[in-house]
Amino acid sequence: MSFIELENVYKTYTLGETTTPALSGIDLQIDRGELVIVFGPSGAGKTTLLNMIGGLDIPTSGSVTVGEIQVSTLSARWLTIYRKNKIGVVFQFFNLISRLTALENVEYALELVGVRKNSDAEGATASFDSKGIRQKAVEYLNKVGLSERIHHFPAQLSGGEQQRVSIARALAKEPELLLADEPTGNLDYKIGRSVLEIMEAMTGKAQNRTVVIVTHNEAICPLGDRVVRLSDGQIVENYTQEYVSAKELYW
Amino acid sequence: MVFGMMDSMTYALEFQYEVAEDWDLRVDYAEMPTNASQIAIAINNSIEGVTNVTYHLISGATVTSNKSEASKQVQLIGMNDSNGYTGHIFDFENGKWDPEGIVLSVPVAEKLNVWTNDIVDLEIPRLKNYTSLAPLRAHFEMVNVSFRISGIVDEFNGLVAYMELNKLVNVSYFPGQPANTILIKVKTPTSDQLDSIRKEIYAKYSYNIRNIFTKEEQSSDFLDLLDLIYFIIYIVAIFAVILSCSIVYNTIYINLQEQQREIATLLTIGTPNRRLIRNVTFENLIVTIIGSLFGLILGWVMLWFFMRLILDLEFFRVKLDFFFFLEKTTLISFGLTFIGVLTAQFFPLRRALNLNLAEATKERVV
Repeated sequence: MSFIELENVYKTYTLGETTTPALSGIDLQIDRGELVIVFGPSGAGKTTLLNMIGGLDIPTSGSVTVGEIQVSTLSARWLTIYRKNKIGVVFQFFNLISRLTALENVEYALELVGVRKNSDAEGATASFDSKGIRQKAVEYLNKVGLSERIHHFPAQLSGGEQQRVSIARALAKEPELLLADEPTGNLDYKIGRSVLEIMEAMTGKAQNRTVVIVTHNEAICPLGDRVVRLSDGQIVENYTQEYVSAKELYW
Repeated sequence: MVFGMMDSMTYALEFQYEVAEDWDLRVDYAEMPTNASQIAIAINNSIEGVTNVTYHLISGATVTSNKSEASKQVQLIGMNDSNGYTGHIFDFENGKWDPEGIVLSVPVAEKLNVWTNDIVDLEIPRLKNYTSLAPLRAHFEMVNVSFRISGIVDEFNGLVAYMELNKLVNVSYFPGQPANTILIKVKTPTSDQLDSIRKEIYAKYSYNIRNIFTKEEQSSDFLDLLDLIYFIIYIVAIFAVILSCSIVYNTIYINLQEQQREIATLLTIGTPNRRLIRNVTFENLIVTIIGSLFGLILGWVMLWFFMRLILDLEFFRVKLDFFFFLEKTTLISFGLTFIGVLTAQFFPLRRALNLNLAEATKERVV
């Protein structure tokens, strides 16, 4: 059984009498440790797909299973626990807490799992005591190259630095699954590339961490072990070999 | 704080009428009789149940002193104490009653910066000539007379001065034995007895009487007035609470709207609703406490000036303690404010917790 399984997933949005299909019968399997790029134009349903996997939204029909948890049937409370323990999220606009420093932003995410020590019954993949939280946060900020900027507030950091804090925040709690929605969408090419390199280095099979990146930027596609192309809410291409071989050429 | 002030006024009023006002029936005259002594003796001798009768002459004066630039207009009460009964028990802050001196109330003494044994000047009307004695029709001129302060009283009546009646009559050149109030002490002051005496006075001595009332009736007139002020304050307080709630609601709503993206982010990375509610409530509690403290200080300052104004109005004597607000009402205010904040945060917070996370986290901060 694959780590992520989407089975005949439909999602429609209704506004008044208008019904808009966002996903139409998605079947997708992603193995543990895979780095998957979900690619497609605006309105293709990429973010909706990511939201289904991340438990930010629930499908109209069909099922979403992540690591044997049927996400599509979880209550709001269990979805929160699922997101906290299983998922790391990297946002397009970084979404750091403006009142917290880079270090505190990472610490906060760690505290959420750390305070629930020995809560593996709820699906925790990592747990940290209060002493270990700072150490862990500093370690991950060092990994993303921000050791000199840990006490800076988001407003004092560049876009690339903020995104690196966001990656550190998402990965420090050592989630099984990392979801990134247009992680380079708000960065220029050079900085975006460095951010992706960091993500690639910190995830993948070696770390046994599954990554799903949503993008409309085709240049990112060679980074993935697999590329899923969406159009009008349906999977139109699902590549593996071609892009893997082309990847080295691109970078 | 306003309730504290009102309680101070009610206490002062109740004290005044329970203790200081030592009479059971009071006869007020429309025109000042110049044979008060005869009337008093007649009432005392002819009406059964009456144990003591005295009379006051109430005049006006402007008090000044060389210790202050200020001047104060007071109600000057000439007290007849020839039989050891003045109809009034003083609540002395300092000094004592002395027929040779003058007794001032605390607000007057404070205003003029004087104390016991200081000398004050009184500008009082002196009769120049008169055209009729009964009723008294006369021309007056203003004269200055100096008096030593023998005592300072702290009583319900705001701006008042007491002096011996004969002294006032002498310096004012009033003819005869004038008075405008007769005070009667009754052996058994039941309402039936008081009514009976009142009817008898009306029957025998009704000439020129404006009103006869019991201590309870006069006290209840004032208490009715205080009740009206209480009622107005309650209405104002209710409006203030409603207004505060709407302002707090609006502020919290805007605050949570502004933080919508952060809240969505927090929820997305796994912050439980309970923790978010706790954080927002804690944040609002801190703001409430700080705001309440500021409110308390500002309210105190405003009420201080308001009370000074009331003191200047000469109507009530309100004891102006430094901390004049009540613990009970202060705690109620805090409680109401916090309940208001909890109520106000309920709907915006519920809305924030039901955010579409996918949409809210994608909102771009400009």
